[in-house]
This record gives sequence, structure tokens and C-alpha cells, in this order.
Amino acid sequence: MKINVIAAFLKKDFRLKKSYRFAFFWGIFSSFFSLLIFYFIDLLMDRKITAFLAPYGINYFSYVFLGIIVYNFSGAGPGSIAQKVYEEKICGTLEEILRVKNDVQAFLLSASLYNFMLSAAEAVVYLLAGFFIFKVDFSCINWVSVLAIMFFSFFSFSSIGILSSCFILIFKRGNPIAFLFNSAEGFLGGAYFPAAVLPFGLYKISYALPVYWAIRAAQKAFYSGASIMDIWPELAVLACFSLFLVPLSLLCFNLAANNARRKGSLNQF
Amino acid sequence: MELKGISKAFKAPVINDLSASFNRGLNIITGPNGCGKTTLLKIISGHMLPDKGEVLVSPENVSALFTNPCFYPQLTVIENLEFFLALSGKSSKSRIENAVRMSGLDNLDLNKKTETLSSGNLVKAGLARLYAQDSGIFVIDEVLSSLDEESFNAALRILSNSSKEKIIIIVSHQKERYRGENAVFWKMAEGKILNEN
Repeated sequence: MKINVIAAFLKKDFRLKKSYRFAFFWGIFSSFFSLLIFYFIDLLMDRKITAFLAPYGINYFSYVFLGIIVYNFSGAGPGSIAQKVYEEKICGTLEEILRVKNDVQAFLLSASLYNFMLSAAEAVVYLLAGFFIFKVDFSCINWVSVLAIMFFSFFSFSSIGILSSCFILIFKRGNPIAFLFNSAEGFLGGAYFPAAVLPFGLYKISYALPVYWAIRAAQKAFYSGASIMDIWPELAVLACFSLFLVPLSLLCFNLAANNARRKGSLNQF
Repeated sequence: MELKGISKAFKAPVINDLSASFNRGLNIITGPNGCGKTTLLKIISGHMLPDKGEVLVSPENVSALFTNPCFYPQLTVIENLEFFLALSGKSSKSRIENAVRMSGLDNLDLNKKTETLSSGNLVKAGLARLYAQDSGIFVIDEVLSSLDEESFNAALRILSNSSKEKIIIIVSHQKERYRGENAVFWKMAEGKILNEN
């Protein structure tokens, strides 16, 4: 896979994004608005550290603030890679991209990288807002651990994104994986509240979601300064997810793409 | 370039055990609507897979131009050309400039978004992409008819010259426009292709 081809995809995606600046800023604004809601819920609870938040040593707003950032990262996978495939279909360019095997790999990798770069840019905006507006305490952040979490999450989140895009290739519309993961990750993954709040059975289901482990590790790295050694169990689980999901997603994507090329439906939507 | 036993069906068979060999030069394919001409081009270019049979050429060596030229509407002409050339690993400013001149787009503002182009200029942009990619095989679906007489003749002159080194396959309903060229004429009907020369 050639680096210049990946760079060309990234350059093209950023140029396309520039055409929709309002949508980008609107996305940030709407997330900021939801943060405001959580901020006032936290005030309502007197900013107390409840029993479920005690392991993290933070109040509810600090918890949900980081949960949403990580959730956005994970959402970049299931939602956006499929969205990108759909957009390429609409432009009539998907056929051209998927006809050469090397371009397919470059397309998937660049789509994943692009989404994560965009999520990272959004995360920076949130962190600045968190620091300056909401006065979240980031004094303990362990940046090395944060980078490790991002690295290990990238592969499993992207794989789920690639898997979900298979549905767009086969069925054109309707994406149960994105729906399942986006909903499940929000509810079970611990983005809005610690998963330990859930009944025991549901809590155990959250173990099957990469985002649960990413959020758990991120809370420790951000607020307790946990080192890589402290969060290695979470990183190991994320690595296992990646080892399983990366080959599975690539295999499924190739099968789905070849199926669509056989049916001649790559440019149909 | 060889096609061996190609079959393709969409509920009903469209191409049926088709074998053919295309040599360097202009190859003009004619045939009634729905006889499988575009499907055949898409199989040759790797945009579509056949149900049976094989195309003895790698998709990397084929550049294709279909009735709906593949461009990102929100990007400018130059940005589109840069992107697609980068995919084929041949991106260079001089190559793009040369292709733009050959396609007759040099009078156009290349910083215009492709969504604002007329259908004729869109075809010219598609031709510019083809010229710049400079693959060994060009496949061109029925698009040249969108060009005015002068642009058509210019495109045909370039394609005819290029055909000394390349395999150029053009689908057209206007066979007579290619009569003066040293072209091989093919006719598609009932899922088969026949050399008419």
C-alpha cells in the first residue's frame, strides 16, 4: 500500500470537508450543548462523588465529559466509515476506488485515519472547553497512556466501522451494526454513566464492547494519571479485540465489495 | 487484451460466453440498447466482476470513462485530476497541464467545482483524466457524442494517435463518425461480440 495514495485520500477528504464547514462547527456546537446539560445535572447533584464514581475519584460531569469524548472516537468508526462509503456511492466514485485491490486497502485505512483525525480535532476543542469553561481538572493526565489508548482503540473502532460499511455495500441503506453499536455503546459502554450502575447481566454485556474498555482506561489515565502498566489489562483487551476484528472486517469488506461488483450495484443507492 | 468465456446475467443473461481479443488500435463497439456494451466495458475495466470467465488484464492498466464521469462534484477540476492521478501513482503537474491542454480544457477555469461544469466540459475533464493516467488500455462508453463537432474531432485525433501504442475501446451508436479512422468495428448482439471488419 503506497503512502502517497493514502495521503491523496486524506487530502481529498479534507478538501471535501472544507465544503461543509458549517456541518463541522454545528456538530461541535451540538455536542457542546449536550455537555451543558450534563454540567447542570452535575450541579443538581451538588457535584458529589457518588459511590459509583468513587473508583475514579471524580464528579459526574468530569466522568461524562470524558465518556462523550471517547464515545465520539468510537462513533467515528461505526457511523462514519459507512457514511463515507455511502458518500462515495453518491458521487459515483466508489466503483473507481474499489476496482483496484491496493486502492481498497488505502481507502479503508485513510477513511479510518481521517475519521480519527477529525475526532481528535473535536476532542481538542472539547478539552479546551472543559479546561477553560467547565474547569475540569486535567492536572493528572498521563499523555503516554492516552496515546496508547488511542492507538489500541483505533483498530477495534475502525474494524467495527468497516464491518458496518459492509451493510451499505450489500443493502445500500440501513446499517444495523452502526445502530447496534452506537446505541449499545452509549447505553452499555459507560459513556454517560459507569457501566457498574447497570444490573449485573447488562454490566457483563458491556465487557463485549471495545468502547467500555477504552472509556475505563481513559478515565484512569485522565484523572488518576494511570501509567501504561496500570491500564495494561484494558489495553490487552483492546488489542485482543483488534486482533480478532481487523482481519474479520477486511475479509467481510472484500466479500461485500466483490458481491456488489458482481451485482453491479456499487454505484446504486 | 483477451476476454475468455465471459458471462454476465442480471436476472436475464446479458453477456453469454463471450470471448474476444482486442489489439492495439481503435476498437469501436456498436449494438442496440441493452445488449451489454456498458456491462462489457465495466467488466474489462474491473468495475464489475463477471459471473463466469476472465479478463486477461489487470485493472491497474485500464482507464475508463463512462457516461457519468466519475468526479467529486464538490472538488474543483484540478483537485479531482490530482486525486485520481495520485491513485494511479502518476501525479505530476506537467502531466496534468499536458492532459488539460490535450482535452481542450485549457480555456476553462480549472478551479471551478466539477458540479458547475456543463456535460460537454465534464466529458473533457474525463478525457483529461484518461490522458493523464496514460494507461495501456482506454475504455470509453458512449460519452464523446456529448462533445461539439470540433471537440469531438480533436478528441478523436488524439485517441487515434494514442491508439498506435494503446488499446482503445469505444462504445458508440454513431459508427459513421469513425469511418475515416483505421478502426476495428465490433458488433454486440445477443450476448456475443462479432468482429465486423
